[in-house]
Amino acid sequence: MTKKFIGLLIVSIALLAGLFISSLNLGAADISLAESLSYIFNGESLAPWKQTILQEVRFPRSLLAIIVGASLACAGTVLQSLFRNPLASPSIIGVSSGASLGAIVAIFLGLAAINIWILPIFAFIGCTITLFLVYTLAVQNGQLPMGSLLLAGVAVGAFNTAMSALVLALSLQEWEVGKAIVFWTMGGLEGRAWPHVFLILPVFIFCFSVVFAFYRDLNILLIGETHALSVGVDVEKTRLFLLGATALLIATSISVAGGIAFIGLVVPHIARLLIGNEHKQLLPLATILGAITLLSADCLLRSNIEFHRVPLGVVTATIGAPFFLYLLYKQKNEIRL
Amino acid sequence: MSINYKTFIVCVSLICLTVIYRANSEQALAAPFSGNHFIETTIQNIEPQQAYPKKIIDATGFEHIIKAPPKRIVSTSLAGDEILIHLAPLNSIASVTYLVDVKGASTQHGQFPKSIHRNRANIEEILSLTPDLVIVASYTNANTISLLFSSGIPVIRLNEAKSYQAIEDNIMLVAEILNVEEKGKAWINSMENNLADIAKDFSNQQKPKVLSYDLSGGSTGAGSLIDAMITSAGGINVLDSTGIQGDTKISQELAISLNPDIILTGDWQLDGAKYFRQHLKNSPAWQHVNAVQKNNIIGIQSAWLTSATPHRVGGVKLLAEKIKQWQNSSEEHNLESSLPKNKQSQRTQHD
Repeated sequence: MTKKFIGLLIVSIALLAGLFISSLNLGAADISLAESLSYIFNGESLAPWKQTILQEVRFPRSLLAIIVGASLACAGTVLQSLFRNPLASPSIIGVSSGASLGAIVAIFLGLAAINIWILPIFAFIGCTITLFLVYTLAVQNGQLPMGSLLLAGVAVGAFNTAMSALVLALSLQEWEVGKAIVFWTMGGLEGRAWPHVFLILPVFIFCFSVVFAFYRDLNILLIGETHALSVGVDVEKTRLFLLGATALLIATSISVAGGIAFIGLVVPHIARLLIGNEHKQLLPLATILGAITLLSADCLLRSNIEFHRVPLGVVTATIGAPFFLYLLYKQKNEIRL
Repeated sequence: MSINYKTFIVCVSLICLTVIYRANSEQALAAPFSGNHFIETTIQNIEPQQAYPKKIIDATGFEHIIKAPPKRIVSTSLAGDEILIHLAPLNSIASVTYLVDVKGASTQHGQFPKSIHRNRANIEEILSLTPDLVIVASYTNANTISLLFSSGIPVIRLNEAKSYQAIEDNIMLVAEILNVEEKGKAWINSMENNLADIAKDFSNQQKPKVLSYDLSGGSTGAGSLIDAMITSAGGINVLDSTGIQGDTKISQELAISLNPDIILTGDWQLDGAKYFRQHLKNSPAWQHVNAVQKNNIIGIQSAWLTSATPHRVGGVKLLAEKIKQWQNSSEEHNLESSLPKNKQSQRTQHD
């Protein structure tokens, strides 16, 4: 590990920790930072409503922002390396559109309001069906050519998007249902609670571990498949594992936070600009940067109650895109995959 | 990499099973907002002959006992706001929605004292008000309600107001919890009497075909309060003939082919209906529609068309006046048509 990586890792972890603590002080209710800190670290008792807000609203929301941001950035990094395509993002294999369709159907049928687990389950089912379809369509004689996978992903993704549009059009007859779908598709963490954390945290730990275990194979795959085969990498199996793990990451993220653009596409590039293409360093850094980006965006929304209608995905893109363009301008020729 | 393929599949399956298991074991959190299977809040008196304590039983099975009349009530829906201002003492209302100050949204605009807090249904905001009763809408976020329950705050859900009956049910629900049933019944009776008075005027009159329509194609069929309003005001909702139900979007072609006598539109913004009227008048496709030819495009402030309380009768009255005008002009027209030609010309000269 290089000194630069260790330095970046320490700075980003410190930044993330600082943001997390600050985020506990942000929200519609007036709870001071001193109160929050003394409650968390010293266990001092607060008014019951303040305890509820800290424990049940702010804490899980901030944790979710971290995990969702980390998941999306991690998935984006893997997909870009796997496809050797700088435009690869969670949407490229159609998985995110499948998860969205599942979630939209759950809202449309009125099931999402019955139980908070229904929406994530529908999103996960949508994602799994999409992944199965894409894989079945793309596989040829037991092989999984990247070109076929991309085309199948785009086609199934387009179908999912069309179906989502159809459900949305039908749902507009019930204004509140239509509104819920529109806001959900734009992403957000409002109202998310501990059950959502319990859903995504084990998946994230498991999938990140799987992905990180393949970091050498990802490094080799970046050079090319022929080279990877010549040095003994089981390309097909590696792809299957990585696609499965990223699909899980994307599905669970979308199922709890809705459609959040930008992070899976741009954060990996920012991490590459900072540390290069060595996946042992790139994966952890991109993951932490993803967490920082989403938590910062969410903090911005929580800083003023008037912002509560602004979709989280809009904020991530608004903050991140100019920063990315700045990095791109400074290091014009350094983005390489 | 030595991770076994089968091990991976087993791990993924285990995660799925865990999620499904948790889904089944979790308590249901909120009633569906679909009108097909809405489950109401029910209230029971624990001691017969005594107003309090009362037990609130939510659709999800959550029970809460309130021992005395609520003193810090928070409403997170406009219907709740309008019901509260009529039934509850002002000093017991801790917060209402910001919508009460939006002229286009609330019929009671300007009626709420500034001292009452305005909320945006944000959970932190609600909890920080330390309420002893929260009124939510049928579509309120399940997580918000779950947090209110877990904080031990009693919650009552208002039904989605798709009919006058639903309005009455909501009023009685709030009246019962506040122990002001008589006041609630009196308000309901006044609404019913007003509607009956309006209906008397139109019992033997010709009924115009009315289409609720806006620039984006939004319209309303049977099974909605707009439909009930049109009927109460003496018209016929022309969309009923198509079998379309509820709020919907219809094509311009369908709207024109229905040839309504009156087009009803909501006026969200100042002069919004004026632009809508001009648009239809200037559009060649609409030139042969009765309502456009005879300038019967009615804009009513949206608050009167969306209110989910008896205040909606104000909107019915406005619509009824317009329908009355249409009927009078129609009678005149029919009278003129039945007169001999020489009398018609005399009359025209006289006019």
